[in-house]
Amino acid sequence: MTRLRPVVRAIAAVAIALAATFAIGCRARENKSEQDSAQGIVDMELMAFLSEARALHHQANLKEESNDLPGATAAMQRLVSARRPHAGKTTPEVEEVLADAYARLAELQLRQGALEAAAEAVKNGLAHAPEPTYFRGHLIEIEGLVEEARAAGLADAGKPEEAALAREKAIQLLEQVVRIQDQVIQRSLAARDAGATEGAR
Amino acid sequence: MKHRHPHGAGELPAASRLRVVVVALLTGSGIVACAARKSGEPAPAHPGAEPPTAGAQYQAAPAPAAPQSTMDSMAGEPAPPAQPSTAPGHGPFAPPPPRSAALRQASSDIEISQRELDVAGGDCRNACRALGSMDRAAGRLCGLAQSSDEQRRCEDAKVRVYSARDKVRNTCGTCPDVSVERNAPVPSR
Repeated sequence: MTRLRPVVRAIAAVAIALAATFAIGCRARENKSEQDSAQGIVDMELMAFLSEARALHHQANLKEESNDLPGATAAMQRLVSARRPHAGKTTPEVEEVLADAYARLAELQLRQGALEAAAEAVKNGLAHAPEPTYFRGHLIEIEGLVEEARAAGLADAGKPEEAALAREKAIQLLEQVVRIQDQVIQRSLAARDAGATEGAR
Repeated sequence: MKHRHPHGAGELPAASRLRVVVVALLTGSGIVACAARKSGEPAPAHPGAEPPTAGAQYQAAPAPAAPQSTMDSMAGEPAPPAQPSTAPGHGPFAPPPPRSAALRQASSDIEISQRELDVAGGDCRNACRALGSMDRAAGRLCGLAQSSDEQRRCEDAKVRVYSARDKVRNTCGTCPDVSVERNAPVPSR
């Protein structure tokens, strides 16, 4: 009996140690779950912003369908001024939404002849698309159209030299668009091919 | 003379056995509780897969040529019907897995397939909209070209568009808003 006590103690100690290990493991898991939950709240904030963006684009579509360009412009202005998630932090999704919204805003302003406002919107949009992405290319495409419209206006105003400069600038911007979007296509297709190879494995 | 334990070397007295059983039960219940909590948590869909970005749910506004389709493109494409998965290791004589486990597995398979489709579709969607922008820009550029130098720049841009059309057609087949036919005019729409 006496000889076996240490055995019993040892078994009990091992069991207690195991129980403690599992308890710690469970607690760690709970902590992780809490962290995940906090992350979920942050994602909800982002999702709310994306939902608002969709709603405002939809509103702009309806306004455009009824030829209400100022109404569509106002919807895009609301989007670019909307409260952004992750204050003080750059989020790729939000940056894309803003670059895209500024491109649409610039295009709407251009259609209403507000060239300066359109150029300003492009400039603001480019700040959200510093890399050679579709969004940057699209913004520069609108900028090219703004310069083209400016060239036409200057030519009509009897300013041929200034018109030629604006036209040359438009051509340069459009060449830049071709180069950027060519890169985007190559990257996108390379990514797709890589995905297909990975999937075949 | 050594005292010989009446129960044999591997056996324990009743009180000690009771203690061991109690401790073992406590340990076991801890494991079960921990496992139960784990099963209640959402399982990661795919350990190696990148989670879909929220941005995947937001598709950019289209180019000036088709401004009305913004929300259409943002709504995303309908997913093809998912195929039921066949879990490996479940032979004809193996007992069927529990219903909840099978459902979880099927749900996980669908999520993975959907993500793969989204990624593949997203690359072509991106290539197509970039081709549309490129096509329109080259068209505008050629419309502005007057001098021989500008004509040459127009031709260079067109060559790039033709090449891009070939690449996109070979990988993606077609694009909804822009032609991928090499000999189509620039701009194609």
